[in-house]
Amino acid sequence: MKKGWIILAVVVVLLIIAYSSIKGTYNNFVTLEEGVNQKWSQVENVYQRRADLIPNLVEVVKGYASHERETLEAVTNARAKMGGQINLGPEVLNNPNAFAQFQEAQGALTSALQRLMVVVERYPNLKADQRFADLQTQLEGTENRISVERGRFNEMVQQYNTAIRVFPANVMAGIFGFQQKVYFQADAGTEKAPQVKF
Amino acid sequence: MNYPEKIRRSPELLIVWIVVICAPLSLLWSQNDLPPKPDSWVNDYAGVLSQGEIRALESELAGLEQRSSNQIFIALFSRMPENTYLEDFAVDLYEKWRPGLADKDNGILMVIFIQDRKIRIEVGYGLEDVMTDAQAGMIIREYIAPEFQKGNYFRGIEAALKVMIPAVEGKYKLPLPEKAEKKGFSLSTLIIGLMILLIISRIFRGPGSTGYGTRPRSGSFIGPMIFGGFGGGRSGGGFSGGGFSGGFGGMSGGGGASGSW
Repeated sequence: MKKGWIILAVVVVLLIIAYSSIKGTYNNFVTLEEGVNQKWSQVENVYQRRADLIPNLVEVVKGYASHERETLEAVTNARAKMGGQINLGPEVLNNPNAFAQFQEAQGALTSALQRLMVVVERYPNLKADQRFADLQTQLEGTENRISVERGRFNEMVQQYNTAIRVFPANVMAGIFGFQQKVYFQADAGTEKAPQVKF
Repeated sequence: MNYPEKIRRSPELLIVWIVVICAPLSLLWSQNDLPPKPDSWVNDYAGVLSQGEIRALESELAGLEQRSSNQIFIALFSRMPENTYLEDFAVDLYEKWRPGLADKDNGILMVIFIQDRKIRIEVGYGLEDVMTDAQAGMIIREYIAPEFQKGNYFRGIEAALKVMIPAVEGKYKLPLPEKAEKKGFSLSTLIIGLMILLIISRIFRGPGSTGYGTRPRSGSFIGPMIFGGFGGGRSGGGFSGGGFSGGFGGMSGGGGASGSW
């Protein structure tokens, strides 16, 4: 009779320990995942910010350099291409293909903008325009924001991926369906701080 | 613990461990050449301002901080470290110094490299709407660059502050003192809670030692739980009206403008 009580007590204690450790690990996953989602929404915000700048920028440049049609069209097209690609939500982080597409579209826009910013060097009147100077600064600032938020997002994903992959947490991650998330790869020209230099 | 054996067995695990071990190290290394803490609102590591000039600027910035809780820090360096981008440097330094309140991010950091003739105004999240990139760029072009070209560093900064202070003032009010007390209270309850948790886990360990082998298990999860709780690393930072008390914990996201003269 006494032995039975001891076994029961031990089982109860084991259950409590198991519960608290599962709870702690699970909640840690949730916190980290929310952190990743929050950082991702920041990344989307800054990309949105850049997309919003482009119509004004193209408009002002057109006023002085209308025959740079090709370069301007490249920018407009690149923006249009990722038009539907901006607010993807955090689901895209579990989908490497969609994420690669997103990154490619953003990369295309980045390089189109870089070409535009090289071209405008040939137009002193444009460069002297106050509106253009402001837009230039805003674009520069936005590119910088993109690089900062991307960096922070990658750091957060690294934390999350590490947390769900280390033993024994990986077992629980598998049971509860926490998947590894994708992050930005360094690709030509977009990884390092703003290349839109003046 | 038999980590080395595990590592030998699984190259994936090895990578994870390398990341886990190296991530903090690389962080330390990359931020090594940054001054860890600001001495005051104005930090002249280049030695181009006189004591009187520094005091004049500081009294302006101390006043701003007292009235509005907005923090503007200024750092003058003589030369930029090798292989550094101005923008990266500014964000890193901002993350270290943390001007502005933690919940409002109402800080601004002005980084100046005298010999490189480069300047950046890095704006915290909370002031991005009252100090836009375009405004920051305009301040650099119109107020700072002309004076800096003549070597008048004090006058350039003074002229910039004359525009910046009114622009950012009035957006935020001083936080109420009760708020700071509340923060302290919640921290102490957290500590008491943790102590209770530890005691409870001690008690639970007792029966586990009868041979059922639960001891290492219970221990291994409490660590992550505690560190998970503090993992954010954003210091709360109380507000004090008096002298310089460092950054309050604000963050920036790369907003602001860069320029040269």
